[in-house]
Amino acid sequence: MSPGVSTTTRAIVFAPMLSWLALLVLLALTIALAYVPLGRLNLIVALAIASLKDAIVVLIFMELIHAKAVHRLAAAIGILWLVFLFLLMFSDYLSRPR
Amino acid sequence: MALGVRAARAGIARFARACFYVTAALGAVFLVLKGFEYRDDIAKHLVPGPGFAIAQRGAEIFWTLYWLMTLIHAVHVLIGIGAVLRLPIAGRDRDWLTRSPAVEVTGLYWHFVDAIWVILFPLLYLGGRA
Repeated sequence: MSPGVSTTTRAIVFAPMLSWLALLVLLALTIALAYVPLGRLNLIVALAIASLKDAIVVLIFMELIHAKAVHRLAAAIGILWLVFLFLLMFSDYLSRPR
Repeated sequence: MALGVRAARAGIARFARACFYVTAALGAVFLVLKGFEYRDDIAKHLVPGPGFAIAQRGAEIFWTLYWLMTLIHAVHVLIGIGAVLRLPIAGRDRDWLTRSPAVEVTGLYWHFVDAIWVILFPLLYLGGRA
């Protein structure tokens, strides 16, 4: 194998494998922390770790980190719509009498 | 999947095809494990409706969401397996595999399904364990 080929192979393998390892570490962390009693913080911690994992997936696996600004914007609009849906759902949920 | 897409783009066709087969196989393993879990859930009467096992308020709503979300996810994964398997088959033609935008788009779809599971997993499995 020539040095050139080896460099490309490394470039291909490095980012996905490192991301995958990071995802596994975060998975172990979120499972471990789920058994630690933190009260309301448990859900927040779990969702924060999930957001971090999704950031890895979206930025590296889906390659938005190298994407053009307009592509990133288009992807971010998806989150905007999701925010609308949650907003409408929670406004219903929170405004109901218990 | 991420490796496969990058390998295909770099022209390493054989490695890319292997990656896609492994991806599809792992997707299938996920579905089989989920199937065993479903069998367990059904045996424990955790399907909402008459004969539901837990009397606690809200439990039935949680389990309705559990079934709805995981079943929709299972359908997504099933579609994903089909789409990923298509790549090495249509990609026996090396030029197609290294040039078709279908490879990247299938990767995006697969990671989208993955991203959803990343959120669903803590919501459905980790709540109330502490």
